[in-house]
Amino acid sequence: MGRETFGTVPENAFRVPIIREESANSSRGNTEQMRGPDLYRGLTELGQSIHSAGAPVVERVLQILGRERQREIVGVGETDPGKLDMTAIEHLESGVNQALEGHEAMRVDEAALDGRVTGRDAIIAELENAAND
Amino acid sequence: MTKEDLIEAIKAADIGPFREVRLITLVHHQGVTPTVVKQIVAELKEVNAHEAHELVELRKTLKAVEPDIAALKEMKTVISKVKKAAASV
Repeated sequence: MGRETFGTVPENAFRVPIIREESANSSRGNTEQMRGPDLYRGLTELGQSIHSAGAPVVERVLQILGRERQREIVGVGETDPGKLDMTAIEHLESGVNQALEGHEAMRVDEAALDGRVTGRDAIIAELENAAND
Repeated sequence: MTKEDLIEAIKAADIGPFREVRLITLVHHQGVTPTVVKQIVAELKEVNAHEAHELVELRKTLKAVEPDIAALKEMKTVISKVKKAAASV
């Protein structure tokens, strides 16, 4: 059922090297792209966002990105954003999208269930009336 | 109520293929008798009670994850900003 859809977020969605081994000055991979004040601000904001999302997201929805991992991301995002890997951020985005899609599926399930229960109630009432006539 | 009406009501109740076939077969074999109608009503109520319970639980879950969803939406916006910033550097 839809309410279990969150469980379909792949277990490895966040099991990626969020934090690169290299420093911000490394030329390897996409770290060169990670510089600049806008990006720094963005990553800081991401760190704060993850931090403010806090335990409920981790425990009830994502359940995959552990607290330690959160702390690492927040710490690195705030102090040395160059160490964050864009691939990891894309994985994070993918996980967030899947969780939101799961939530949307729950909403669809809710509407479908509501419709069936209401419709069935009406049918039951009609049958009971007919039986009493 | 005719046999056809009763069969239409069973189909419209969306109670699952196996139960639907069984109840329609019952109507075909025994006709529209008080006992048959009573059994059909009882089964519809049973299915409805089950789904009504599911609905309550689902709504509880949806309520519980509301703050998470708000946080996720916020996170999505921020991730989007980060990606744009990374692309423009």
